[in-house]
Amino acid sequence: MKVRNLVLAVVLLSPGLIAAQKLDAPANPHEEPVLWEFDTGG
Amino acid sequence: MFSTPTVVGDLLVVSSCNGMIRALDKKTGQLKWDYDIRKDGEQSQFHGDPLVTDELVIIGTDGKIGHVYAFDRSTGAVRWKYRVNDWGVVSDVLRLKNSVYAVTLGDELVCLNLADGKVKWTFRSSYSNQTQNFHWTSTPALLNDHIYFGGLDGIVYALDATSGKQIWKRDLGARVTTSVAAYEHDLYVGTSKRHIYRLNSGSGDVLSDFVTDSEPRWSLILVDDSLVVFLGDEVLASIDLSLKKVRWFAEASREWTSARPYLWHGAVLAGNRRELVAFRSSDGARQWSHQFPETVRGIGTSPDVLYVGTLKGPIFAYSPNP
Repeated sequence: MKVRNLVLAVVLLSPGLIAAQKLDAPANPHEEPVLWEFDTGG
Repeated sequence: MFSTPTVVGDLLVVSSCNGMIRALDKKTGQLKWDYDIRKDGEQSQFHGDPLVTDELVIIGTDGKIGHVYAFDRSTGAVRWKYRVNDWGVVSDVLRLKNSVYAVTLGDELVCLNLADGKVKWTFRSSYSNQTQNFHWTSTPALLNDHIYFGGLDGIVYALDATSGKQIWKRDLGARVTTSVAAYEHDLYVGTSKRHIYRLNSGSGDVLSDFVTDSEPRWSLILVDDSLVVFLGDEVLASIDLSLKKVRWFAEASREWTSARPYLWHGAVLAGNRRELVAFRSSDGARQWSHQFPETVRGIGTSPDVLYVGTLKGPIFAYSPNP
């Protein structure tokens, strides 16, 4: 029973884990060439 | 933002047309120090490029008055400032040994002591501003202990850089509209009557006279064996150093908007309104471009990153991916 619950939990949680990893991944400089922006106001 | 964003160690010095000069962390864009020149009088603009030494950032300002400022490059503290009455300074600041040089909008070349900003000597061209019209003054060139100054009176002056004593002068018959560029023994300068001249730096003799379709403007950039220059609003041209032929040229869609052409990794960079364009310096082939949300002005360079200043103020740290 415990093993079956564990397998179910892993299956249910894994899509979220994968999505979070994608969001947290560092920006690829080749895809995001603007590294930062500062507005001097004039 | 006309002045070129300038890398100073780990900092990027950015001077704006709203009176603010700032130092940003060049990796993150975080503010490290700033200074508002409006507290020192009716001045609010920076147009020339700064001189960077081991300790200082030295730059001119303009407005109803202006100054040459020396900022501590680490803290932004004003080490010294030199007051200019005739609308200030839009030229770049140059250095030779312990002297710095700048040109006022009254067409006076000033030589200041690097350490404390005290005047060593001044030299005023014969230009007389009767109309109060604003004309861009020329940034001089230093070569072999001489300074070569292109006046609004149409005369190129060769001066001893230490004493300010005149060595020769050459009347070109029209207002000098570009910086003076020096290469080996030759000088290059453009005028409002659409000529670019090559002069002998020893005598001032005219070696070449190249007629252009439009007025040459801003800075003359030496790239390998060519001179790169804006001609009027629309043309960016590369001309061979003997001034015999145009190697290549590029036309803007409406006007070139960067403060000068810039050289970076074998490419000539220029702003075409919101587009930053890179041309191969050898033949003018278009290598890459990038669209920004504002009109491109001054472009700072480092080995990997460009710092793209814009007319309305935002500056972008940009890593090209050609």
